[in-house]
Amino acid sequence: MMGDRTIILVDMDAFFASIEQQCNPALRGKPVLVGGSLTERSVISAASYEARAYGVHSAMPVMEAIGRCPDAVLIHGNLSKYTDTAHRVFKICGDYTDLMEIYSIDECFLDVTGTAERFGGAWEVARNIKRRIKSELGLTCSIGIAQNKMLSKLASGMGKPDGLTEIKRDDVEALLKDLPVEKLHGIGDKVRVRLARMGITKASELAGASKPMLKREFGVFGDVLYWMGNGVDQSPIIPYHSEPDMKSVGHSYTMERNTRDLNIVCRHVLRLSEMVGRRLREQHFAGRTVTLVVRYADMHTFSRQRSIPEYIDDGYAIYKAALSILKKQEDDKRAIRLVGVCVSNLVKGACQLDLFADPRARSLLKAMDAINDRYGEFAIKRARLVTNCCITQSYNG
Amino acid sequence: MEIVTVDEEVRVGAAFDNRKICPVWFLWRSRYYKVRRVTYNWRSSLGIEKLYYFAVIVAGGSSVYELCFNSGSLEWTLSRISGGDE
Repeated sequence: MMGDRTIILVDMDAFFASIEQQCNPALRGKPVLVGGSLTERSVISAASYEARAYGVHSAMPVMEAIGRCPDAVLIHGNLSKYTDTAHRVFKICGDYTDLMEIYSIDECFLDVTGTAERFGGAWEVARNIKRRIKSELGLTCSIGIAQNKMLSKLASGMGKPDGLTEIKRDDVEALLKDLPVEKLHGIGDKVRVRLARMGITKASELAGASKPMLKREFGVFGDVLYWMGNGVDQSPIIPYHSEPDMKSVGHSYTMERNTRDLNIVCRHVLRLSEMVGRRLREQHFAGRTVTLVVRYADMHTFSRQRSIPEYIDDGYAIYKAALSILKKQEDDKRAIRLVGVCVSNLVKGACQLDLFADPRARSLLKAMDAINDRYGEFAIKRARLVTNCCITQSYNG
Repeated sequence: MEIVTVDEEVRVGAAFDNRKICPVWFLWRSRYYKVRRVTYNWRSSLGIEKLYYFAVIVAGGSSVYELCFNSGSLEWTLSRISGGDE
């Protein structure tokens, strides 16, 4: 059991949009949307609070967002700007504890149980973090303080933007009494609907529900739900330096236009495979199972795995395995919207690579890695990937 | 708001102060621009080369000029210009 803990959640306010407003003062006070281009496929990554007033939110299609807020300024996102800023935020937070869990690019949990007193208490830690983020980066954040991760997340959402909220132990019961269940982090729309069918709409009703009944309905998660209703969350902070090894490495790509041209599809599969291979080698992993994901224009998604005898980390070997799966789908003439490649069944460090593989191929791979490390990704690439059209759009993964 | 990609090499006068770089002026297409304020800065990389970006506003205008310093090649580039209030 966890003893008494003090957990802080730092959540940046409208992160990407606020950075853009900081870069360009003319955008301050205006609705700003960060997302892709004005096409059917693009979605919003972040919306400023001025844009949110029009009902725009992240993950909304760009076209719909512009329809709701025609005066909004649409900015094409700059990931390196945002990741560098996130590192600077996490560096500030890391000055107050080494027990920091990076939860997403704009959120981190801090366990300050053992360190807060050195800085005058958790409230002072939170105030210092807010002051430094504002003075060093010009950005605001919302902070929640509570006894566990779930309640600190709840607290951070109570004072947005630029808020600082503490949920004290004695206040938990009163707070949860009328709180809708969907306000608890981890309860999404599907669970909310299932709970509502059981007559549970408030956290206090969840707390008073029969545990066996919840377990019957939700399995192991039923137990978690019961404790959530009681404001209890035993989940530990997982510091970024002790995160478990990854289970798989994958990338996907949504085409700008649906295509039936298998040459185009294969080229994207090759590029994704090379990206996966590069990440595997960087982290000293190799894998034995290759998964290919294909989503058709009608949104039907096909996913197949192929396991191979030897561990691989070479993009071209991954591509060949993915291609063998794709070949079996050749008869399907539907237009393709998205492709994804993933390698799982991973081992780290020394592993038995193919004994009979051409050693020159390994040397070539090393030489290519050295060149790409020196000059940037895809500075050197397979001829198949050199095209007249630019295919350097962002790949997800 | 118009955003123009430039990607042209520029001459820059910069102050190196307290282990920080701060562009003070730049020359682009034979025109002199005095930096009024650095509104934001961030780092990126291209291979092993570190890129230092600065969003700046120049005297007499509100457009934002994005300057990039490549610490490997010691080159300055004007990456892009975003429209301001004018």
